[in-house]
Amino acid sequence: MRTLTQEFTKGLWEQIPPFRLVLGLCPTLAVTKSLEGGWGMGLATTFVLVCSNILISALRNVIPPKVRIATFIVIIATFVVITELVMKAYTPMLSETLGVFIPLIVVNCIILGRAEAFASKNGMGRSLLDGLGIGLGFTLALAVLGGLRELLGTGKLTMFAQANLDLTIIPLGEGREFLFKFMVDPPGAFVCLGAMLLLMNLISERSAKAA
Amino acid sequence: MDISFFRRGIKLSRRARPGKIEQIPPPGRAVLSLQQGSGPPAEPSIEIGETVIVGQTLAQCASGSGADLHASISGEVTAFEDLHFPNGTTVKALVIEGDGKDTWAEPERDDKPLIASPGELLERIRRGGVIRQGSETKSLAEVIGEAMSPRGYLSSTGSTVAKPVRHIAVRFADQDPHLDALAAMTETIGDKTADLDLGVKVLASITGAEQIHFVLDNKQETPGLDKLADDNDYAVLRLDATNYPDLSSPMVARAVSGKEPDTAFKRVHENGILVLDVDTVLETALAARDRRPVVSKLISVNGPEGAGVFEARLGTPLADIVSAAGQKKEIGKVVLGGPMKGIAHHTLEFPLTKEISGITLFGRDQIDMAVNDPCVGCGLCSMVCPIRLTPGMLSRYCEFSSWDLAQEAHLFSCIECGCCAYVCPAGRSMVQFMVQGKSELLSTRRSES
Amino acid sequence: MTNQRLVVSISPHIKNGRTVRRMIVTTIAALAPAALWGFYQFGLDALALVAVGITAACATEALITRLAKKRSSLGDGHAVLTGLVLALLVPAGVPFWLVIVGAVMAILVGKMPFGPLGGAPIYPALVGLLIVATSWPTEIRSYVQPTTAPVELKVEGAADAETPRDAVFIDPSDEAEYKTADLFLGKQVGPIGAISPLLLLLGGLFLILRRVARWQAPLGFLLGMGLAAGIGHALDPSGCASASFHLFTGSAMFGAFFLCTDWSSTPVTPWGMFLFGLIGGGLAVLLRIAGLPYGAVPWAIVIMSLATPIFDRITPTPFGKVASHA
Repeated sequence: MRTLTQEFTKGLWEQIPPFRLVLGLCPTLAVTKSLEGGWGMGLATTFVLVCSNILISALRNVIPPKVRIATFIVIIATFVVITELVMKAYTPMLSETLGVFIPLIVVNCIILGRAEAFASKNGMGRSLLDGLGIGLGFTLALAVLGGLRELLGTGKLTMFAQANLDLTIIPLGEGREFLFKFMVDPPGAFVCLGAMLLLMNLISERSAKAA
Repeated sequence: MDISFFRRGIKLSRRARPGKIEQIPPPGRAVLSLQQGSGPPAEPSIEIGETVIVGQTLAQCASGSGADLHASISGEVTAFEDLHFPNGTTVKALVIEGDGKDTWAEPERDDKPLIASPGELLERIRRGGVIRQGSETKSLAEVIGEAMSPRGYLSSTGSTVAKPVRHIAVRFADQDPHLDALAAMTETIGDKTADLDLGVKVLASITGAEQIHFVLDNKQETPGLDKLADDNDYAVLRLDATNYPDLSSPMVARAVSGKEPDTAFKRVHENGILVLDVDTVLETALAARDRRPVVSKLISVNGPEGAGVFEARLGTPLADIVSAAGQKKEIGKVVLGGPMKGIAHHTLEFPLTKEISGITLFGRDQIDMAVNDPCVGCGLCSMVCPIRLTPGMLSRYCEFSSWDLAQEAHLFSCIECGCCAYVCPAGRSMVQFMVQGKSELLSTRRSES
Repeated sequence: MTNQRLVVSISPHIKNGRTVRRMIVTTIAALAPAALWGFYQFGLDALALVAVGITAACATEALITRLAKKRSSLGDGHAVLTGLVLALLVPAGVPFWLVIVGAVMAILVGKMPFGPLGGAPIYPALVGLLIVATSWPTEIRSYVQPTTAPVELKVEGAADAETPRDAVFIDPSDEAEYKTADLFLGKQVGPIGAISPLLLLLGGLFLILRRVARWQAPLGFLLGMGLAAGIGHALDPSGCASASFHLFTGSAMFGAFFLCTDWSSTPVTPWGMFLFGLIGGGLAVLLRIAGLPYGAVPWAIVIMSLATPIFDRITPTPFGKVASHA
């Protein structure tokens, strides 16, 4: 049995979703064209994950096992709708960037996976920490991937487009939009994801050897 | 170019004319394996310490399988010995210490063997210890017994009845172009045409074959054979023997009948075609007429320092034959058979057995070690495969243990001719993968049934 | 002669001496005439680009094998071939860094992740080429006026990234300005190594005669392009150039003989190869007429490569088997 701290921190490295669980790959590949898209998607997912984890954990003894998946989906969908409406109201540009991938959080395997594998078997406190940890891990991974792709692809880092918060790391010539367009193209996402996986495995291997 | 656009298989060089046949004197000590060819070993019918003469039966086989064994030199049977075959099995062998007199048993000559019943002739072939030569060495009696046409006298005795034999094809050149024992025999066939004629007639009488085919290399000059074929209405077929493996049994069967036989599980004669080598036919004639058993063997030796065709008694140590061929330098590899299909042996301390048709020697510097790099997908193997398989794919299936996929891709049709490995730029030992795949599949099948 | 150690191995005991390295060297030799013609037409810049491409590819491969602690695979020459093919498929006016990025990507993304030689599902040089072509659509079209070409290069046509044409001149209205013989002899604008259909054809035939490449895929590809362009031209002469124009421009000949005959990314069965080429050729013409601003032939071959496992299922009926069972 893990301690409560471990419940939280496992999501940040040991079980970081896109790399270790290899779950939730569609948003990982689709929205990481920019740093903003990465963290925006990550935080939206985290919110849904935490809320649905708490609610499912609370209701875990009254949900009939036969219809549990349907129930999970309904609960998750509720929070997704809330997220979507809130984002449309307050962060319209981010909402536009992420587009259809916000409603698609409903079918994100991470959320359903945590609900099935964790929240429906553990108490509310643990579920909250688990959701928070996994969610923040997802956010971190997407932000790193998005940042990397955006930096290589366009030379910029978009923090928050609505507030004009972006950094130009590598200045481009006049009239040029992309530094290395391949990186922000869909195949570039696969290459970047593969590179990150390789890096993660390399680090774990090294540390395992050192231990 | 060794790969042709127009036909499958590969081009190998062949010596224009085979060497003269040289006789190797009977050895002082002969080691005779109880198993000759595939099939169960024979039961010894003599005791240690008995004196034997050339041609005397040493061991007998149950009817239907194997072949009898006869003394190849005269002398005293001194011991039983373990003999390690290159395929890993160990077989008992009889040792005869020669008395140097080379006394022969009196032949029981039968001047009109064709009058005898087919069953009697079959028995004489079995007692004569005739082995079908070539790549599928097996007791000839067993081979033709299986293939015998369903006539009353055999089917009623409960012997296996397979599809009848319609064609007998007699091969006058080795399928491996580097061997020329059969070609050398064909050069001197002139005075043996009567034996040859008798041999095929005996075989036709047993099997009921309707047509005899002589399969020759297109460079061989054989007026005697042509006349024999003309007189008896035998068909003569000339193939290009440098195009390997056109002289292998399935390819010969196709050339003879115009129909491709199914090669899976080595079933070639089910199409009604029996492919035999000329030396087997001659031995058949001797066994049927003179009741003279097989005691010597024609063998082709190819080495870096010397080559030649020799006639030697069974049980002669291979080292004697090799030194007779003039090989003095250190040898790196000894192959029993030709370079394409032969099997490498770890020692020259091995007696001549009936299934060895040639010895190929390689110097230390000539050995091609398999590199076994991963398949690069160049597709040369599918270009040369005479069976029209995709060997590169098959080798990958076998390499990664996908036996079922290999079977679906017709692994069992592979005749292990080695063309794919010969051309493979990645140096993959293709035949090894194929053989391994087959044996894995067969053992699974055996354990399931 | 006793007690000596003998080697034991499975048959066959002889080989024809063909090695991967020798086959790749033959391919490079077959490419040499077309490359030399490119150097003559485009000058030292072209030579420098090729040198840079080869160096970058070899350096990347050496670095990766070193980092991954694998046996160095530079010896088989495939990295050289990859760099060479990549550099021959870009116009002479591209900046050096573009070729370097392309070569690095070809090895890093197209070749090494798939293990040793023979694993790559797509021709590595094409992976590199298409990565840089999609990333820098303007730079990749930096065509240069060759030393001997009958018609002045239209620079504005070259710089326009949005024009859906393969080479600069695949526009039916341009066709009238060219003589087919000039195109065939290599007096045209295009990628460094792909402007001379004659020399590429000779190189390809040499490869086929040396049994390094098979004839089915090139024949199918040329036939596919010819048929598609012929039909297109007959239906709409103003929308589609004639078959000979399509076959002799862009990288059509290069693709037929040097890209369609790659090892791991193309089928190995006879009909598989032919259909691969045939469909690929048709696709290339389609992409040229109504598709991409650059690289119709490379794209067509890449798309076909992804379908290679399907084509590999078209196996011939094995010896002695009944056809329906296969």
